[in-house]
Amino acid sequence: MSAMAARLNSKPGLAALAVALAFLVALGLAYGLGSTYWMATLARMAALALSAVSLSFLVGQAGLVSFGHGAPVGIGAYALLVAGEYGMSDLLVVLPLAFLAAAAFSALTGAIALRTRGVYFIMITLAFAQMAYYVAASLSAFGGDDGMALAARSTLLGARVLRRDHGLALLAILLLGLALFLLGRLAASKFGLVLRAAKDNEQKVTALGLSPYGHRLAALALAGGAAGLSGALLANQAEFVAPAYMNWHVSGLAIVMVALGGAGHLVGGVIGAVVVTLLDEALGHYTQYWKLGLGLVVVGAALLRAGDLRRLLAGGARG
Amino acid sequence: MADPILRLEHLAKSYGALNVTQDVCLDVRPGEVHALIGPNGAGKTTLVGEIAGAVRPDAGRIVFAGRDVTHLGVAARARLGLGRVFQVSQVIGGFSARENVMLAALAHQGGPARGGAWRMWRPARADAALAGAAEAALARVGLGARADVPAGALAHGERRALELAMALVQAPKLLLLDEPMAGTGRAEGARLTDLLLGLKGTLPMLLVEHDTRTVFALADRITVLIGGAVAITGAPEAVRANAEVRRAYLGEEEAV
Repeated sequence: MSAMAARLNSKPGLAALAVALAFLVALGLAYGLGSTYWMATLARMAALALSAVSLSFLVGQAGLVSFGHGAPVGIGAYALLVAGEYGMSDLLVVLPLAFLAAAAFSALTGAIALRTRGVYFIMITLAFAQMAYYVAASLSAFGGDDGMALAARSTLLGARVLRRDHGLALLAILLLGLALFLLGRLAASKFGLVLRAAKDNEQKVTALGLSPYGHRLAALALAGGAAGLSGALLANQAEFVAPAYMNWHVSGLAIVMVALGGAGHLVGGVIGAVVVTLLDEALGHYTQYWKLGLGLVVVGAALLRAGDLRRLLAGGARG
Repeated sequence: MADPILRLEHLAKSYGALNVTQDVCLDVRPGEVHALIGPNGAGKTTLVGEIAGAVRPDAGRIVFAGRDVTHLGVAARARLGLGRVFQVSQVIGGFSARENVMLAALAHQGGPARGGAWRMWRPARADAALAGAAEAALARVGLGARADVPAGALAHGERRALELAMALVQAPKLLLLDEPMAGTGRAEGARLTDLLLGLKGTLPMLLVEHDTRTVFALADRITVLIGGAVAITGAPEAVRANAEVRRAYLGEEEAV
């Protein structure tokens, strides 16, 4: 596993291309069969994978187990909604806006959260996400607790490219591939080397003359920004934005995705997101208690790959 | 005489009623190996912490490389050229030996162009200068053939040598060695002593050590710490002859 992860880690372009191709083939099949249901599902899957990949970067590379990853996702969604209310719905505006808003939130809260370690970091990120949740719920101009429908999906230079779900899926796959490639490059860079070293042994890294605080803050901001993009995609797909995007169990599900796929490589986030979405779709038809099935899968995966999960938790306890 | 590279001036530190550092004055001159010895509980570990920047002294001054560093943190002192080998080997277990030294070299590339550690695009492995520096440092400590082994899988003595390579690649102005012989076997210890002997004269070292054989083999001067205070500083022969030191520390059976 770790050997495979190492090989993949050294070829971020290859990993990104492989994932994008797999999604494109699935999308092509759905398009050929004329299944709008599967095209919409693929769009959502790719968007969720983007969020999971950014969290995987935080957990696997920086050792930062954030239990508040739903917050930047939701802030990206709200950025889209608010911009739309002010008449801005072009992707060239709303995507950078979603990225920046989410990155700013992650950086500001991260500056405080990074003063804690381990379980306290997990708790404080959860607390910040809950604050964001309640702030969103109190925005009566934007639907308050109930949320609000988008006036329309985003456009590109005036063209309604996202009108149909395959357009949205294409955009989601493009952003997912880009995130995999860029975060993969980042992981292999000197910046990434310092992040991983600090995850492993912070005392030594400090004694060598490096201060990992700035690196971690930058990692939080970048991952938060990517999560914001994921939120903008999800909002376009649902054409609806609500505080529920930031609910703590959304953050928890993101951690489940990362743990399921393995945090050793960014592609693990994609695998986790795909498995969770498929289970949701497959079991959700039969019972609203589909998370029971997910729970069984997580337990099974944990037992099969106890080592991976242990490393994850050990990283969290120190991280 | 040239200015000392490190000077401790009347350092004091107490935890409650316990005075762990009492009016300690000590200097390390360019090129010398200065050993700090003392019985268990003499306050060596606290003093190392104060020198490294992890422990704030209550009073006194620390001058390193001509600068008052009393109020600087660990990372800042390291960037000024304070290299450190920990009592319990501190390496990045998940990294290969080469990556460990590359990380140290990266931290040192620092200086005014501290952008190195913030490079986000090019793979770290692609930096030939960094890898070359790492190879050279590993060869210097005899780990040339072990460059690709994960640090966590190295033997105890090898990990010590790796830490030494990490310190050396940063071209430190002073090497702070905290009980390098602790936990090493006889053969390992002898190898490590040889390694340090080979480095002697190339850079100043402050050697905090329990093992008197190593101390007398390496040190130009010795400071004996007893009860948090300096009992004597002097040449090895003078320290060996000192009756108080013999009584408090060396003991008859260890007479060297």
